[in-house]
Amino acid sequence: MAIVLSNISKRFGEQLVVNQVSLEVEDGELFVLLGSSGSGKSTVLRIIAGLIAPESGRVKLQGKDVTDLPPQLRGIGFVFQNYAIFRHMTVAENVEFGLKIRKVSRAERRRRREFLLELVGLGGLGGRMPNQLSGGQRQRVALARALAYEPAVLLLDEPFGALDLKIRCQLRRSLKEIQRQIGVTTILVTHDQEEAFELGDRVAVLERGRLLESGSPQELYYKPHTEFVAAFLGGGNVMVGRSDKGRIRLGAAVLPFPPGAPVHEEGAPVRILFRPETVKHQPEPFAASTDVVTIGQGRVTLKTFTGPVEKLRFELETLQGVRPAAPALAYGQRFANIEATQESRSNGGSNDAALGDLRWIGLSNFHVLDPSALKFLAVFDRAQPGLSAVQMAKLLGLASHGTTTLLKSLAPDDAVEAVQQELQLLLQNITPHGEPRFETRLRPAQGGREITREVQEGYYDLVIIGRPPQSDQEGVRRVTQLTRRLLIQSGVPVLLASSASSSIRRMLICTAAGEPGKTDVRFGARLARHIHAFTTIFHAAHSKASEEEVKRARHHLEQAREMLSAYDVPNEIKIGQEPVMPSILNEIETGKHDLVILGASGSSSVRSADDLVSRIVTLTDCSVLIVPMVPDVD
Amino acid sequence: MVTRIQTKRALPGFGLSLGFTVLYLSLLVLIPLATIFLKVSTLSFGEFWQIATTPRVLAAYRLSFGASLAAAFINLFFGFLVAWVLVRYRFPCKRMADALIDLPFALPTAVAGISLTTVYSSNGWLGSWLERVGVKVAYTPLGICLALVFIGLPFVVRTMQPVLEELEPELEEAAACMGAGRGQIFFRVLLPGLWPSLLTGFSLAFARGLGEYGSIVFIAGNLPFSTEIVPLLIMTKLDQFDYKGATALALVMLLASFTLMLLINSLSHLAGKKSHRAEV
Amino acid sequence: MTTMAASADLARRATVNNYSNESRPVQILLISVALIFLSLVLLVPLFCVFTYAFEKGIDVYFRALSDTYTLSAIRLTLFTAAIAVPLNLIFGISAAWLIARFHFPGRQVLLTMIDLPLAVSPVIAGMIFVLLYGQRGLLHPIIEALGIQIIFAPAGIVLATTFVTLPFVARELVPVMLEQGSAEEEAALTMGASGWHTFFLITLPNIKWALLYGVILCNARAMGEFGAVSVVSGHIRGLTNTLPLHIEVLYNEYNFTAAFAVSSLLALLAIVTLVAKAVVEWKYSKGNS
Repeated sequence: MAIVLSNISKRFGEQLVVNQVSLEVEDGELFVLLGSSGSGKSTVLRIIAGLIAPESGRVKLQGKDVTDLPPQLRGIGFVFQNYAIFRHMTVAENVEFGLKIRKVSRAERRRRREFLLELVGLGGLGGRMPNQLSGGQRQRVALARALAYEPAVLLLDEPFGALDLKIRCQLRRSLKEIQRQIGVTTILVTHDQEEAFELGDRVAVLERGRLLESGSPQELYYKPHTEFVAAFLGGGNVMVGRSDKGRIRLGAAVLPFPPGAPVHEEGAPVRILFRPETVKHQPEPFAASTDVVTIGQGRVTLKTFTGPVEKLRFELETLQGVRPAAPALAYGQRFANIEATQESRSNGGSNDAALGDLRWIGLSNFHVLDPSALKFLAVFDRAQPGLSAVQMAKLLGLASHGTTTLLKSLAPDDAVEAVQQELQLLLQNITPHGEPRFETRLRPAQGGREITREVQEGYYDLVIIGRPPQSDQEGVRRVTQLTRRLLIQSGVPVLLASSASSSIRRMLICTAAGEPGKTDVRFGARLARHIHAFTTIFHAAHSKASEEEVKRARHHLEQAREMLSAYDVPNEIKIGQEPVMPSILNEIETGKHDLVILGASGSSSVRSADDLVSRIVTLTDCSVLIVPMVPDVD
Repeated sequence: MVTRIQTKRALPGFGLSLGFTVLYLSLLVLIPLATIFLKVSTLSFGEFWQIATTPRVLAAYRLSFGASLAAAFINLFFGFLVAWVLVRYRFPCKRMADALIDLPFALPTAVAGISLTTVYSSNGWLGSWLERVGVKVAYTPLGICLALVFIGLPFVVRTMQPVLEELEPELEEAAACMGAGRGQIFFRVLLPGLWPSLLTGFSLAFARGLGEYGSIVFIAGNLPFSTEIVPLLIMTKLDQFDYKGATALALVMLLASFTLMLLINSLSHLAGKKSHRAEV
Repeated sequence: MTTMAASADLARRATVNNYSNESRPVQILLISVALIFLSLVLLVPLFCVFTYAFEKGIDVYFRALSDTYTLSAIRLTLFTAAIAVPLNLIFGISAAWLIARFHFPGRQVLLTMIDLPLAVSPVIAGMIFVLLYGQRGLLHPIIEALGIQIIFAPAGIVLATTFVTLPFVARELVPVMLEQGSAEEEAALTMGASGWHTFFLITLPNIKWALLYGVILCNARAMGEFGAVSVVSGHIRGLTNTLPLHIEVLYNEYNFTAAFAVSSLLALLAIVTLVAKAVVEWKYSKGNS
């Protein structure tokens, strides 16, 4: 193995940027790290180069552990996004720099330089100064410079990011050829999926510091394991159905499990992926004898011509109760969309659908993703009433086939084995049949910091904390503080579980009218779909609100209603009067809600939500769920 | 779990440069400056107050602060005008005019002092001419103000130039498309965004004026109660070996400069810049 | 930036200079006011120095310069600058490397501390050394035991000058190094260069112009400092008078021609400084295009 990373982690301040990344790159391979900005891909590359030291984990190059070596001694070539050409040296001097450092003879230096400049297509330009070169040429110099001293490993950090599209394509092709010709082991970092597929022998997808999957471009595109990769790489339709008597129930349609699909428990959610090019449509149902599986009838709502292919969008009423993971349901949308592509033809062709046509939709191929239910973290801590958190986790776990990690912080004098045993005993009591799944996790120290770290490292969908009783003011203060910290630093929703809610029959979503209000409705809808709770969507209107504002709020609530209906959740909408607080408290009281959902966006709003949360916790005994609002959701 | 918590830096030389920089600063700046506080601490507050508020000292404060403020205002106006003209218009000798702005940074203050005095004294080139219309410059507070205008000008110009250069043309174009006239564009669109930088330039010029000695000592008459500035008074007390008096006054001036420095730093933060680029 | 984008940007700026600006008469009025102001405040005094210096002819001018006391003042001034400037050069490089290449707690505080000497009145700058090393100074017993004199001696002049000129090199280097970033240095490290190699082969060539200007500015200030030096000097003719102090003495003796003759030397130095700055700025604008 040329490059081996094992369990690399790195934090910048409290932010976890690289989380337990391990990967292996074979000799001569071109390996691509793909991820959006902030996914930690460049940090991984800089750790391999030695420009950043990892917090934990080891780096091995050519079988040698180099974790503690400075960059000078690692024998790597690094190409930077902004070239980092030495601006006071000629092209030739730039290329020869590494050789001079290694005290290579003048004749040999010259030979290498001529060879490399020829190789990257800059023959005869050795005498130029960098500011006489175009961006593309500078990047070629950077490549030649990094290869001059025959490094064992070549690292490229978004090398084409600052270039025009056309030059980028040219350079990609030359890079691929040069890499083949020299056979140097290469890691390239990019955010561009097309670039990753074109260049990579293998591609690894990073998200929020975690390496999700790696494999050949074909594997990743057609047979990914995770929803993120399925949706991140190209247009994908991901629908969440249920496993039903050995088949997949997708709304009104029933699909067979394809051979080799991962095993799903009865009743568990099944996520299927089908690419736009595998979606077929025709005016009449598909015959059972064909390879195409019918999923229902849909209407053409969008048709775009893009050159070689035509993009179509269908709206399928028959997918009621199915959660479309990608493309996600737009706010206020009632029916699932399906993206399809077909070859475009100059004269329309026989199988042409017009806008508004009702067509039968079938799939020529689909792929079942790995079962991955929601992940909960239940905090079982001396400081919080842990038992109600565990009970709530059991409730949600059963409803959604989710798994729960039970977190316990150790006090300095705790004996690890004893605590383990205690937890096992507790779990046996709560889930005698092993349903839903629980895991246990011990953290070496107590306090909010350790809990935050666990939430960051474990990528949970929801954190459950036992809420203190109404009267315990100190406890309420502690819990709201911890909640705020978690919301700001991890962005994961937090549920304050009450011991009173042994089941959740009625749910209240308090929403602000407008863009930020949509996030809590979305999350609430997802949760309600699993636990079949009757849901009230509530908005407290301004007492002096203009007619216009009331109308907008009503529209917002109507749209929320559409969305809940699309998920098959029984619901109602209500508008209360200002001031907000008494109005919400009154609704909780009269509506007998078991769970209240609030949204919080940004740190200032987290603080005002804090206030609301602590009031609700001191004045009622229901459970509260706070959803941090992500403004850039679809 | 965490095997090793360390922040190793890839670039070398952190320890060496940190050690040397801090040592050098401490020996040359921090420890000597600290002696002022040490010396003042030997005074009781009553003594300090008495020294720092005698009528002669109060008159010197008034003159120092007043002349510096007046000069800073003059520079605010003319400095902005010069910066505006240099950034936005074309005219002959522009490069030379631009280079000349830094003259007060480069010309020793003593030289500036004697030549300003000579030019503006009652028999000088410009002074004699001004005398005829009844204006006396040299050996009056007006002369002090003139010297401070000379000293402070580059601060305003060099603070404003980069800011004016970075003004997006689209701002004015958009305002013009929406029907604003030149005057409206200047006062409603451009000027509101320039306030932090103007205030920075003003404070820099003011702060520099407060401490100025070399150019003023020649052009001021140095008469107690009328043309004696605080730095000169400190100098006089030093010459009389009145170290207590000198340190007390120095402390007052030092606190004034530190306050201004704090203000300037927060202003340049406000203006969203890393550091003010005016050179001294 | 590609050349296309750069020229588009230029074209955009040119537009502002042409049509969406004040009318030409208004421009001419504003330009005139600005130029008259600059002349009255800056140009006339500068001219005055040279005019008065040569007022009584070239002979008198050179006689004033070759006076024993003038020569000793020149010697002392050169001596002072020869110590203060290299010291602050090394400090400036060290401080700029620290501040522009590393992030550490207290970085902002350090940056402010470097600016301190600029915020302190020159008179106070001189005073603190009198308080430390003078007759009744804190460290006076020590230096007396060592048998050295600092106040009213060249050593004090060097100290005060070094204090006053401390920030100049660092202040020139920090913004330039911050703007250039550490990418080139990191690239050199990945190619196997050692720390010193990286500094001498990569960093130094990139900052040489800013460094040069910082040194020139530092030098101009070191040779021209008046207030701080005046406090610690004691004005002993032929021993502790630097050029600016010598000018004061001559001026106060109504020996105007000699005072301006000596001034013309320093004014020349100032002009060289201004030209150097223009050259450095031109170099950087060329390097960035």
